[in-house]
Amino acid sequence: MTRVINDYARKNGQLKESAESLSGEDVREGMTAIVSIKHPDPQFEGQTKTKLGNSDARQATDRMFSETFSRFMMENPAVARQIVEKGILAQRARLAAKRAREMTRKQSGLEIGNLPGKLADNISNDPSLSELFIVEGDSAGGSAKQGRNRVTQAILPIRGKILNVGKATLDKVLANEEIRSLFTAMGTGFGKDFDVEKAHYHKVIIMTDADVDGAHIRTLLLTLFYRYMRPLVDAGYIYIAQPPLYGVSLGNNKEMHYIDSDEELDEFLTQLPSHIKPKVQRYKGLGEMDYDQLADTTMDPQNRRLLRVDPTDAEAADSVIDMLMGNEVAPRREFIEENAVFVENLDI
Amino acid sequence: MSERNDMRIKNANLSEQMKTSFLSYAMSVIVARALPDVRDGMKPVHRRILYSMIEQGNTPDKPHKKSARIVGDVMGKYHPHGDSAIYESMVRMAQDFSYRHMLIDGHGNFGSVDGDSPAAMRYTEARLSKIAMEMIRDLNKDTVNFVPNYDGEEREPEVLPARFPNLLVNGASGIAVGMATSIPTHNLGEVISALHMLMDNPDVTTSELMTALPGPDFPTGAIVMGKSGIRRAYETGRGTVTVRAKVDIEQTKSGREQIIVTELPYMVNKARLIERVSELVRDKRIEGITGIRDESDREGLRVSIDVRRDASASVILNNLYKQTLLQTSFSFNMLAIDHGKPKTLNLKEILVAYLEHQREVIRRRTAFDLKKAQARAHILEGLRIALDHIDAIISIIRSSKTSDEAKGRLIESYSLSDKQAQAILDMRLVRLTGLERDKIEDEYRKLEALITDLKDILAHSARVDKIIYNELLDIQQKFGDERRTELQVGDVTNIEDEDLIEEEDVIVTLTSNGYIKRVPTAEFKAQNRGGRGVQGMNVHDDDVIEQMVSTSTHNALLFFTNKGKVYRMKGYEIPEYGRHAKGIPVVNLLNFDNDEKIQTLISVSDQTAASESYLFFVTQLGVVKRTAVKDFSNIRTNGLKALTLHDDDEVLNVMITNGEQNIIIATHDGYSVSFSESDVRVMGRSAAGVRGIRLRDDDIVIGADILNPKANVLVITENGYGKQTAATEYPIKGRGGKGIKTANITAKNGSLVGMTIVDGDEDIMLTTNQGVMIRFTADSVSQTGRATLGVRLIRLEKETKVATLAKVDPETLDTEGTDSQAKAVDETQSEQASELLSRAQDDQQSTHSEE
Repeated sequence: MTRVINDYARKNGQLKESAESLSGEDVREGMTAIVSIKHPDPQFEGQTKTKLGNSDARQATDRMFSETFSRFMMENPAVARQIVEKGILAQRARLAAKRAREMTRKQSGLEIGNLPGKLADNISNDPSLSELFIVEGDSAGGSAKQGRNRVTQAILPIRGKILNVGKATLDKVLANEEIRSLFTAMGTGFGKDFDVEKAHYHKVIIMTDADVDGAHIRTLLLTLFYRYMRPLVDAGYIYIAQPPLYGVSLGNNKEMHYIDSDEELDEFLTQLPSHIKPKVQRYKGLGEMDYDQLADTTMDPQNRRLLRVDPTDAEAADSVIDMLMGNEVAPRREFIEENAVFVENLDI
Repeated sequence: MSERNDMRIKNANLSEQMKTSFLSYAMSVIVARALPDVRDGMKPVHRRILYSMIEQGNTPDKPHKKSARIVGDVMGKYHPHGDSAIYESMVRMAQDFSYRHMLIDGHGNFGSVDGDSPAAMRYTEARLSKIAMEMIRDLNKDTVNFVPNYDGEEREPEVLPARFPNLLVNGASGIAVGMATSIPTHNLGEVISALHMLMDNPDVTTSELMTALPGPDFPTGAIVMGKSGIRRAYETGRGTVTVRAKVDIEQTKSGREQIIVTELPYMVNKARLIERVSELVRDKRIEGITGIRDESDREGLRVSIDVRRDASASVILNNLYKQTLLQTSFSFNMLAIDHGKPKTLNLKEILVAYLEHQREVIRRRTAFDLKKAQARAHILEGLRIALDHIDAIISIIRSSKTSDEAKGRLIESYSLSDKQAQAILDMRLVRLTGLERDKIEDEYRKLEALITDLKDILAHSARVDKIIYNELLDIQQKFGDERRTELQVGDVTNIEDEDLIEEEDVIVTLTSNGYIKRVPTAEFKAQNRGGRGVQGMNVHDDDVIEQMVSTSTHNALLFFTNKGKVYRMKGYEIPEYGRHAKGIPVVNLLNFDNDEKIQTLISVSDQTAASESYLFFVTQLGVVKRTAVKDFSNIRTNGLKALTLHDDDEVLNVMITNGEQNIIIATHDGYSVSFSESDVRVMGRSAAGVRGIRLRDDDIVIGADILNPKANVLVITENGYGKQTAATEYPIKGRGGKGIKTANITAKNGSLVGMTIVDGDEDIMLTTNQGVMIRFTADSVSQTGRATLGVRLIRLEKETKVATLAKVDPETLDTEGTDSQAKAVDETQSEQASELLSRAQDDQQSTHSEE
């Protein structure tokens, strides 16, 4: 029966060429077949006599059944379609269950301390003291590692733009290396098993370059947290680092002044006495700073400024993320056109 | 680290944070990354490459420079992004299959139309091309604004002077956020002609512009099909055109055909195209290709596709167009940055924006030249004064202690400016000769004239336009070349499935259980050479071939059902099966209602549809209708009403007639009428029809056919009696009568179950209500008079009755062979059948003797 149904489904395009065939259990689920056989010498199996053992009967039934059943399917396409659809549904359910099982198994493996190679973990085991910096690119990851406080600060470099989880399907998200290493580092598990109590860090700090691509990576990470690690957002564990935009050194003085916006820079420069020639450095990337500069300005709790992501307007956030990161292009374009005037930071 | 130490934590609203971050990214990508400026047609990366190259003096008159140096310079000075992105952009500007007029003159491997990647940037070398110099001409004459680079250390142009219309000539493509752009390449000469047209008449319409600029011109040539897509794109900025490869069909010496591809659509990867074709051949989705070779060499592109001897090259070509990138579509989406904002522009808007830019460039260039000339004239004025009073001036200088003092005294004495005085001090003694003096006078006069002229240009915009006009003309003459892409008038005729399938004679069979298939006629003929019948199709035990139609894959087949509906399929839409196969239930192909069953299958060729042919309907209740075949030319697969039926009535038969034939209708009770079809006027498709025969109580029609005067009328009764009677015995009368006796109905032979017209060499097939089938040739049935009983054809058990009669066309006799029927019925049944037949034969003898 399974073979007949598979053949039929493939022939009619209900099952794609590349798709996995329906298994016996998929097909049989919810189906009842009554087979009536007259046999001169029936041999039943076992004590319960629930199964007919004659192999000749089996062969004959097989042949008869596949012939007449395939004919039935051919002549009743509407019924046949329903049978196949039911089978595909059962298959999907079975595969989803299988994936979920694998997922839980994988997670338990992670908890033993199988940490991703890229993560530079901190020493402290106290989550409330631990911070995870998610850093854009290996070049910045290097300075962050050198400049960190190794007791409390862990560094996870992420290469380039991560997958947009607003558009990707679940299996693609799970297959993504960067996202997997983030999940592993957090130790919270995934999906239904997500447990915010298990979070290894109570501060997750997104530290991207102060340019527009950094802004983009920030939105991608926020989308990931919002869609797949929502409890972290709700608990207020997600922060955004604020690296300075400019570094100004005055004359021969080694001391750096860090400045966060164009307005502040203008103000700072006009206040300077005229005889001092300022040297202005515009930080395009975190990699441009020395590790101690980065540590001083952006990582050191004494000096740094952080933005804590505040999820209070959850509903608005949901629709905003959907609009900005989802599959529909039209609303996104509309939003861009309406708000083009308000752009804060344009990179030419 | 606890929060006590974190003094500076602010809350940031998630959705606000998302919005601002996303917006800065999106806007940056839109205005400063992925979209070109409407004025010079360049994205920032392109502009920076060109500017950096001119800064380095990397011009066409100097040797090539290593690409890595160029990329490094661009990256370090202007473009703080990845090196590969910069190199790729540069490479594209050097590819003769990507740019219509390359801006970079590359040296080394810059990739190919096969999608091979270019050599690494440490190998290749480049310099600006000649035409690129036109992009940056006048750049140093303050023609465009300069802005600080990313770190404020350098300055870069906001836009290039672009002395030729680069946006249209070299096109653009890019994906930003929420929007994308796609502009094809154009012919330089044509775009400039269009600009000239626009300058002559600012109110020019798109159609007029299209006389100068009829469409895109791709660097790879090829063919653009249809003007309407181009027009729509030029009028609105969006539209789609179909682009086809340039292809010839050649005959080889051995008489086979070959498809030769010489030009590919823009941006089509040749290697991948060939791969795709081989894949289609391997998967048997295109038949008839025996080989494909890439014969490209330094002479140019050439791909040859060998066609099997018996296959049609044009059919294969149509298939290739449909299934491969040999035909693609180009979607215009002419989005560019205009005044700092992305905007979808139509052709005219692009030209106007370019022209505006040129006007500004020329104005600013003129102003720059004017300033320079005025400054020079100012100096010359000073020198003239000095020459006039040279002796006094020399003495002032000689009596001065310092140069500053000399300068001050000169300014004082002759009311000179600081610059003039300095120029006098810097003057060389040789200037004092008479010749040099004349030179200064001469230069001054020329400058005076130039200044007047430049002032005049600035005062009259018409003169600015004239300059633009002429300079564009120069470029047109210097760089313009022949159009490469052919524009074909008329839109692509949509490739119908029919064009993709070779016409072939086929036989379509339909069994009484509704299994249908088509078999190529050739398959029968090939088997037939021995002169013996071949085994026909296998059917299920309880099934029998009911209808057999000889037709072609390109003909339409009309399926008339008992419910008065008609469905239509093309011959090729019916699945092809082998000779022995059972076929497929027709319910899989057509959307039948419940209880609907095919009564008649009619093949209609295009000629039949066009000629005076009619469909003649006969229903069980004696209603007849005649409708022209062409009324049935547009039928969807979900069916149409072929005629309106009364309740309980069913279609019995549909015949195809020529308008001059006679029709005979026979009833259960043994009556028949025959009349000329012209008695039934032609009616529309859904009309109900008129009365064909007036039935007596409870009588029904059991058969109808075309009454051919030379043929015989064969009738069969319930109890297995039958006879045939010459058609001439049936008088042609009007329609609607009660009819005449066509057979004597008695308890012995039973009522009529079937009537058909036979020539004598057909096979007749009877099916009993027990499912037994008997087949015999028509001429084995005795010929008798009209109102007779007939002879016993088969002897039936009690309760067993003949249920149906089917005639198999004489044509199918050749093809199917006589032994097929033995296979059609299962063995026990055929035993029964032959027994019935032999008994009937005995009976026939006896019946004869009885009479």
